[in-house]
Amino acid sequence: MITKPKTSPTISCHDLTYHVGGKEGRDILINLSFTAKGGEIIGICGPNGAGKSTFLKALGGLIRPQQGQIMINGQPLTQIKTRSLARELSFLPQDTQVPFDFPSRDIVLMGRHPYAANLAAWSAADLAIVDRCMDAAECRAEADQLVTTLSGGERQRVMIARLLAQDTPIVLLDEMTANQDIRHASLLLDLAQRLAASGKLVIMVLHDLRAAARACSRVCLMHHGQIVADGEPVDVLHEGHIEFVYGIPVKTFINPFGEWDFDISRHDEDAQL
Amino acid sequence: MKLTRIAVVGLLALIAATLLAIALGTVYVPPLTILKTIVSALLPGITPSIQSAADQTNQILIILIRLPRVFAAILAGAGLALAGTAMQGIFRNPLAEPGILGVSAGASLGALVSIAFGAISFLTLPLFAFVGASVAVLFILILASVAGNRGTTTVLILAGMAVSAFFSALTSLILVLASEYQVSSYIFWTLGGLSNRRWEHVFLMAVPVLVVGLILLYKGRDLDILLLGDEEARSLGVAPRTTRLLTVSLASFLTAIIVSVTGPIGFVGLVVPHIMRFLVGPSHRRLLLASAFGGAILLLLCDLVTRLVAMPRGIELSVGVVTALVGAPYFMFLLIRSLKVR
Repeated sequence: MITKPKTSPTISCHDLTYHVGGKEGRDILINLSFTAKGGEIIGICGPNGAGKSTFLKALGGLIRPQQGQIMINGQPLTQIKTRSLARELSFLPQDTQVPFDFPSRDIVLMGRHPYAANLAAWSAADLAIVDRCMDAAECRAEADQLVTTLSGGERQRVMIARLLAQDTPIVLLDEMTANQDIRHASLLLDLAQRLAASGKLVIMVLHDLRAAARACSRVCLMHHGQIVADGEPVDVLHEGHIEFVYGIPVKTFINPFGEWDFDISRHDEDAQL
Repeated sequence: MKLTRIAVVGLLALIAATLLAIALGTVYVPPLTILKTIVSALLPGITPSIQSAADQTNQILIILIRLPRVFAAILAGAGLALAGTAMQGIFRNPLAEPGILGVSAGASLGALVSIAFGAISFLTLPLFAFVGASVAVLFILILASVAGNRGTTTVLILAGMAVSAFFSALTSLILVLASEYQVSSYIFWTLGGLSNRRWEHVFLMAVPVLVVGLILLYKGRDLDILLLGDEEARSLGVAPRTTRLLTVSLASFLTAIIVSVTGPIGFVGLVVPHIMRFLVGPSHRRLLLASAFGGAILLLLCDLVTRLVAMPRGIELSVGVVTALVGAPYFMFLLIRSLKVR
C-alpha cells in the first residue's frame, strides 16, 4: 500500500485562474503558480473561502480552470486518460456520502479499480492490500459494517483506506483530519508523513495550523485565490502572515516540547471589555 | 452472494416459473407435454412427427400463444428491472425509475398518435410509441450535452420532468380531439399488458435486453464507484459524465423499446431493484444480475395471475395492477423488517 514510486512524481501549474458564476461571479483562483515534487508533504492553509479546496480539486483534475495548465510529471493533465490519471493521483474529498448500503470493505476495494479489469473478480492480492490499508487507517474493525451506519470520522477513515489502496505517487487530501478525534488525527498525520517519506508527493488542505507546522515539510498560505506565502512552516506561519490572512492577531512560540505553537492574542478583546 | 450463485439460483427459479406459466391457463398442459412439444418444434427431424389432433392443438397453444407471451414477460420484466437498477444508481436516488427521463410520457404520446391515425397494427403502434419515447430521451440527452459539466443529475431530472409535462400536455390535447373509441383504446394501452404478444414482439425486445444487460454488467463496477459522487469517481478513474450519459441513454432506450411493446408497466423497475438490494446487497454486478432474474420472474408470475383470474366482460386483468398488488405489500414487509434490524 505504501509503494515507493518508480519515478519521483512532480506536479506544477502556471498562471491558474478559476472563475465561477458567470459575469456576476467571482474568481476563486487568481493567476496561481505552484510546483511540487515527490517526498514533499505540503500543507495548504488559509481562511475560509481562500480557494484551498478549489486549488486541490484543480490539481486533481476534478475541475477545469479557465486559464492555466496543470502538469503531472511534465505531461498536461488534460491529456492524461481518466484511468491512467487514477494510477498517478488519488484524491480525498472533504466528505463522501454513500447512498446505498455498501460494506466498508467494498468501498476500500474500489481503490483497486484503476488496476483491475472490468469483469475480473478481485484477486487475493487486492484483498490482502485492502486489509492492510484498513489496518493502516484504523478501520479494519468496521470492514464488514455498512458504510451508511458509520460515524463521519469512521467513514472518512474508510475513504482514507480506499485512497491508500489506490497507492498513487501523488496524494491529495482535503481536510483529512477534520472529523477525527485527537488520536486518529495524529495517526493520520503520521500516515501522511510516511507516504511522503516513501517518495510520494502529499498535498493536504489543513485548517489546523499546529498540525501543518508539525507534519508538513512545506506550507502554502492562501488568501483570496492566491498563494501569499510558501516555504518552510516556521517561515510561512509567521505572526505577520497569519494576522494578514486571517485578520486576527496571534502570538507564535515554541512550546515546551520544542514544537511550533500559537496563541490567539487577547489584548484587543481585553481592551474592549 | 457470489455472481455465479445468483446466476444459478436465478436461472433455476426462472425455469420453474416458465414451466408453470406455460402449463397453467384455461387449458392445463402437463410439463412433459410442454417439453415434448418444444423439442419437436425445435428439432422436427429427430422426434416422431406430430400426428394426433391433441398434439397439434398443444403445439399451437404452446408455440404460438403461451411461449411468446411467456418470453415477452421475461424480457420486459428483466429489461425494466435492469433499467430501474441503472437509473437508481446513476441518479444516486432510490426513487428513480426507468421512466424518469420522460420515456413513458413520450411512448404514451406516440401510442396515442398511432391510435389517432388508426395505425394500430401489431407493429405500428409499438413503432410510434418507440419514436415518441426516443424523441423524449433525445431531448434530455441533447440538453445534457449542451449543459456540459453542469449536466448534473438534478439538471437531468428537472429536464425529464419538463419533457414529461410537455408530452403529457400534448397527449391531453389529442385526447380532447379524439373519438370515444380512440380514447378507450388509448386507455386500454396505458394499462399495459402482454396479451396477444407474438414472436415478433419477443424478437424486438430480445436483442436490446441482452445487449444493454451485458453492457451494464460490464460497467457494473463503474456504476458502484459513481455512487460515491463525481469527484470520487473521477479520482478513481471513472469519467462521471461519460458513464452517466452512456448508462442513462442505454437504460432509457431499453425502457422505450419495452414500453412500446407492452405499454407502461409500473412498479417493476422501481421496486425490483430494491427487493434485490435487500437480498444481494447494493454492488451493481450482483444487483443487475439479480434484478434481471427478479424482474423476469415477477412479471412472468404476475402475467400468469392475469390469465388465471377470470374477469367480468371477458376483459383481462391488467398486469400492472397485479405487479403493484403483489409487489407493494412484499416491499413494505422488507422495508419494515430492515427498519427493525437497524
